[in-house]
Amino acid sequence: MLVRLLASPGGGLGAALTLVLLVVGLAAPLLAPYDPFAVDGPALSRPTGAHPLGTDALGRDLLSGIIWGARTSLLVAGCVAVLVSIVGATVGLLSGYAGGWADDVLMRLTEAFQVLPRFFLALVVIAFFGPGLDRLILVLGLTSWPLLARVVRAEVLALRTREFVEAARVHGASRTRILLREILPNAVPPAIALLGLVVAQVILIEAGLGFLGLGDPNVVSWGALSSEAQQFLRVAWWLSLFPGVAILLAVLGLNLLGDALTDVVTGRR
Amino acid sequence: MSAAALLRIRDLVVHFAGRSGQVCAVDGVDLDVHPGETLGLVGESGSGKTVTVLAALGLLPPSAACTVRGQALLDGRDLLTMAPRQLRAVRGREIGLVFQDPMTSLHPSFRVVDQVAEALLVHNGRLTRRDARDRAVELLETVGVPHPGRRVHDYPHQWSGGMRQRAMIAMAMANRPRLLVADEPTTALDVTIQAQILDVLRAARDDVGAATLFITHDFGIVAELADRVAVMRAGRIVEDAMAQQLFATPQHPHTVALLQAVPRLDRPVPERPPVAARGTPVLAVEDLVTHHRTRRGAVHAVDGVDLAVHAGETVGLVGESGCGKTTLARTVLRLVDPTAGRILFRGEDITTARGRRLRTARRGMSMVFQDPYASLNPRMAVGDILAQPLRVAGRYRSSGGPRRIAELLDLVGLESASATRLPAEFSGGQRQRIGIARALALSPDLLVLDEPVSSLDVSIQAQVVALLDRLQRELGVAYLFIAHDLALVRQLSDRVAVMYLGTVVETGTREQVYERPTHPYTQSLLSAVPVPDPARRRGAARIVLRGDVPDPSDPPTGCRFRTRCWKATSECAVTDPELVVRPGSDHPSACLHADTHVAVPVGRQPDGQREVSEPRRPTTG
Repeated sequence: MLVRLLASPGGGLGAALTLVLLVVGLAAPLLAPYDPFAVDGPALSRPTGAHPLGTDALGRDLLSGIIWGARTSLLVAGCVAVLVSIVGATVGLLSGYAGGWADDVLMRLTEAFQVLPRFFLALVVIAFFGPGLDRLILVLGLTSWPLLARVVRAEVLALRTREFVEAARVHGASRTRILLREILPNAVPPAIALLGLVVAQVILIEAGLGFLGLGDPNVVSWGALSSEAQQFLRVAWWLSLFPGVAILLAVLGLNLLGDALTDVVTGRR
Repeated sequence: MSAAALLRIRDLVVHFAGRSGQVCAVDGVDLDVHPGETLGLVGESGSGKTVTVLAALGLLPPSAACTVRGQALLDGRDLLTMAPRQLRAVRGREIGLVFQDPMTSLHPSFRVVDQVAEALLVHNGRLTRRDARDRAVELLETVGVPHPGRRVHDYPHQWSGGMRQRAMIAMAMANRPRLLVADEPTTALDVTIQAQILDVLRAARDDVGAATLFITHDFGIVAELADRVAVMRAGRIVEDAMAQQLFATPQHPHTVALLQAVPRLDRPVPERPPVAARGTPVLAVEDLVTHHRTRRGAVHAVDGVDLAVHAGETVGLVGESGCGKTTLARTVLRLVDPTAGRILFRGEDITTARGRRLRTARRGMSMVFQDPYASLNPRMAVGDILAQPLRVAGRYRSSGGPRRIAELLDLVGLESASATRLPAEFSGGQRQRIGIARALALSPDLLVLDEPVSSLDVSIQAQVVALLDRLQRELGVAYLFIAHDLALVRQLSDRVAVMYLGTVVETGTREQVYERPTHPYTQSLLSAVPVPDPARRRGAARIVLRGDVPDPSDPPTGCRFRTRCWKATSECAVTDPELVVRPGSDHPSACLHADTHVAVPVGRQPDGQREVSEPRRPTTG
């Protein structure tokens, strides 16, 4: 499966970009040459040997900012992914396997969450409770699961009548056992493929909020970097370009990876 | 002789680009089809028979995925080097094609009649649409579609599989081709429908005088139709001989092995070991009814069935698709809830058992499924699959853990090292062995086998049947053996029940049902099975049933079989015949006119001459 994934150009590129995001985010303290908040260079310096991506209006190193920004993006995206997996998989499994009225109730609930405008909901929450990563993660996590729940439910519906599931029923396996041992492992690959796409959206929303100045002021974020860069668009192109490129590459990588995974899982490649 | 060949394939080689390098699917095939001749191309799955023909007709995907070398000469013109435009003119006009699956080979969103008309229009620009449609209706009439004139607005989904295959034949024959290529045209169909379609194909071939290339895995069909037979194995032709000669004195060991593996109705079967003392049956089913609720109303899948299976015996359940045999099996195992009736397992009523009581009962029965590719969890190692029933019953440790797994693998003839591997690493036959081992893990008293070998090749089929036979002798398990293959059921069963539209129409010991069948349905089923021996070609002497199986949500009044029966009288429409022993017979039959006379036991005839008191019915309804 991995071989088939990496064999396609999209999958290979996506996997590489995602890997870079992961490594940079995890190893930010080791990789960043300077403290992202420390003033340690001339203000608005062009990219030089000492500051490869230049510095901002206060003389802070942009490369360090982007590296620490990756960590923020990764933290938000990772936590949201965990929340989404737990809620989405549970709702999908229960809804698909139970059927009947339980399925109806859960699916209507899913639809209710699906029509919530996530970005504005996040805006409202931040406006009420003030900026902070924790509430951002919570809001995004609790609103991003419907798509995953639907995919898992569809998989469960397809799997529950398969012969190996019937075999487990014949042997007297309990519902929990059938769900966790027989059905879930087979529903995971398509869910993971979708998760990549959900995470990419979350990164975009986080950057968007940062851009509007609603990010956590205590951590560096790509959105906040881009936002500050606005004022210096004509004099310091690097301040706008590099954070933008970082967002672009991260989202592109995750999308490509998600698409390629979907193709591999559904046997289209 | 070869100079006059209509289709002449020379040194055909096909390579597919696989994930791990090139795969050679066809490896130097030479094949001739002479005018007016029917050539049967036989082989097991993966032997390259279909690829050979697709390659010769230029129907394989573009060269990126595969490479084709060699020659395929139609009247001296090489189809492999022909310009695509010319090739298209040849296909459909000079060569007619019929494919395996009638359910997918018609376009779902065009009317059937228009699709047949299209076949005419493509190759004849001067034809008007109206004329083409009239001609299409005529063609459908000749292939036995009842009242095609009334069906001009029908779409494919409104037609049964047999009817769709007739439409495919009409399309293939539309331009009176010189070569007809049929790739497993009856494999997806029931045996009585297969008999109809073979008749239609034979008639169409004789009418047009086309040479025929018939691809199949079934030696019975080959014996029935082919003048000459070519046997393929691993991309090569291993034997090519006249049909009579090939069946009488097969030369190649592979042909010999294949012919021996085919279960046959015309050969004696091994004796069954005597079943020990009767007493309480392992499984008893009393007046069982299972209805499926659908939007169009209740489908009477099982409608009043009585059945008993005793310890150590095999009860064979035969019938065509949709007769309710699988639903019956699933109801017995309580995978489906019965609508009425009783299920007794070891004397205990489990009809409405739930929870713990049901789980306890289920430990004593088990099931082997039809599809070895769907019945094993692809993400579980074989050892875990086998351990599952033990773990669920809480007996994994007490039964010996890994030792028990190794024991089970050994029982079905697999290495104990298989336990750590995933199902994907095994072939279909090996997977079915794993499925059998899993079913036996808890040493059940009853094993329900739902078409356990129908998706396997004959040689593998024979091995699995031998395994099942051995296991029953060693372990004394009772089998409820469900299959559509009558010859196969005969090999393994002590008693047989024949199902039609949710009810058992005839039941008795193997000898009674196979040698002295009294129900017309049993008789026609037995008569429809092609016998792999060209000397006993039955052709005209076969009982060919009319039409299709009626809709099970709206079964006919009275006797359910009467709409297809040649003996039906006005009484049959009002009286629902009970399953009782009829005068002049020794076993129960649900027919008012039960009589052994009409169809003489199959395979007991010295030659193709059969006394059938009733003249053969035309296949049109």
